[in-house]
Amino acid sequence: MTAPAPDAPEPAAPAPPAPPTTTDRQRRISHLLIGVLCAVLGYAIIIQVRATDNGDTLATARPQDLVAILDGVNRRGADLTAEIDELQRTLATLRSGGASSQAALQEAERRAQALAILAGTAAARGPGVSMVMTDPATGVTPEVLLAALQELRNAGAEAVQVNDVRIGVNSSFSGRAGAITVDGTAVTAPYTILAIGDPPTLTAAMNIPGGVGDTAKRAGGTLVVTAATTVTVDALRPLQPTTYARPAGG
Amino acid sequence: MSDRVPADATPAEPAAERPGPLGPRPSFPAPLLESLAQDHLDPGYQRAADRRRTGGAPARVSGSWLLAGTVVIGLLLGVAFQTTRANSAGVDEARLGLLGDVSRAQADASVLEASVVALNDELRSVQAAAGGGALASLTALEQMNALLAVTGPGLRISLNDPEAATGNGAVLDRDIQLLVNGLWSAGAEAVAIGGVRLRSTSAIRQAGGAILVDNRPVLWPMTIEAIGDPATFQQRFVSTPGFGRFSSFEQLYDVDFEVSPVGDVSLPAAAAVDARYVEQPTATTTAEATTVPESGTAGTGTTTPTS
Repeated sequence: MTAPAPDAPEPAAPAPPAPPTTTDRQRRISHLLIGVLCAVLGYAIIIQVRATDNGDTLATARPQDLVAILDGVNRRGADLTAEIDELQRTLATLRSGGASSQAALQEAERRAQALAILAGTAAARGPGVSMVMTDPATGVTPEVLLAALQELRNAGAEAVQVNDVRIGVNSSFSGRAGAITVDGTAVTAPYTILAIGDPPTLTAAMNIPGGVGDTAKRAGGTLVVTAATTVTVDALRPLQPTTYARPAGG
Repeated sequence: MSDRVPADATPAEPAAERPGPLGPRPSFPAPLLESLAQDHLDPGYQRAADRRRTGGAPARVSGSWLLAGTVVIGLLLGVAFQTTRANSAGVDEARLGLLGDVSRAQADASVLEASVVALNDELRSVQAAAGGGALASLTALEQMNALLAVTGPGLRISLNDPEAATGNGAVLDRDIQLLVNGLWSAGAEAVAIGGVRLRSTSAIRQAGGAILVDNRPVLWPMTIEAIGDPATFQQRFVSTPGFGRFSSFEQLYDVDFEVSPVGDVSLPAAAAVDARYVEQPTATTTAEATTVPESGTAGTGTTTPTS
């Protein structure tokens, strides 16, 4: 703190003889400062614009969402790996059969059966859940059933039926509360939904807070989910070749 | 404290040793309102004017204090900056790591999916070369399982939620579920969202601002493509609740929503589902079920409760 000694006379000494020089210097310094500040401000604006301009939803996603996304992608990867193993085994069997048409036919049949179950043209059996949604207040909208189906699919349901209608990839819910149709077939409350999949996962998915159970309750109904070792889904969809969607490349 | 007062201070200044906000003016004890009415000049200005009149140099905060203050403020800002950066660096690092993991896993899954589709094609050609009898129904089944890449007339829906990237988007997973439900009920034969073909086990959900279709993140802006009867498809789709909801989103939340008929859309194949839980009920009932759908849509379903 020795500074004050040389500092104190400074304003006094140059003041009377040359006041313009001091103001000139001050002006120059302040101009310089303004310039520097403007540069910093401009830089900051560019950084900010770049950060917000990056519209990639993933790049701006929160860590917990990224964990959920990663989990889903990994699950999908595991499914695909299992499917590749299966397909390679089948191909190996077919090839080792020395192009025996008998083996090929058997394999084609086995494959057709597996596909028929997933497409909904064949009955299916397996562990899963059976749930009953009541609707005494006529408040259950088609959207509630749609949400239930999406939750079931997300929880890994492989075969689903709603009342007497088997659900397929192109199933849709229409109508209004109290007069719901599934794929054009009217369904009435109480809605019985059968799903084949991992029972604990399916049960948990239905009872998740804010999920289907809560939605049904808000609509004035109830949802009872029962896990079962064997669920038989035997409503069927017709085998239906597409009319407008042609296989690409033959 | 004493360096606060320059050496050339006017005689009145010593009282400013402990400078009150009003300085040493006689009006100091006067109530605030009274002093406002009387003193038209701020005491500081008054003092400077007095000093100029007496020929004194303007009072200055000494350079060393200015320097010290600036250094202290600079230090504070620097410490705050360092702390913030250290905190955010950890979070950012974890986030970047996750982001890398996601894109790696996604790239892996894309490669796997491509080989599933390729293996399926190979299997089909091997079977076609060897047998051929059951192939007609097999192709239909493959179509119902979305295993074939398809082309045909249909609709293309362009969808963008400008707020989605910030996580405050108006469009939620259930809205897209309803939109796709509308496409199916309008007679769609095949649907793909952001290039992800829907299959019987596909769910549409969201994680934060990201929409996941069949567990694959689909980025905004999003394109939904569907194949259907060109004569009726759009007309039927327009009257669905899903279309209605997005029309109001367009007006209320600046969501871009555009439906255009397309002469020829190409949708990719989906990978086959690796079924783990479903099986045939018994050999006999299956044979009946696949050939005779008489009990068909009237099936009731049975369950055996867990023991």
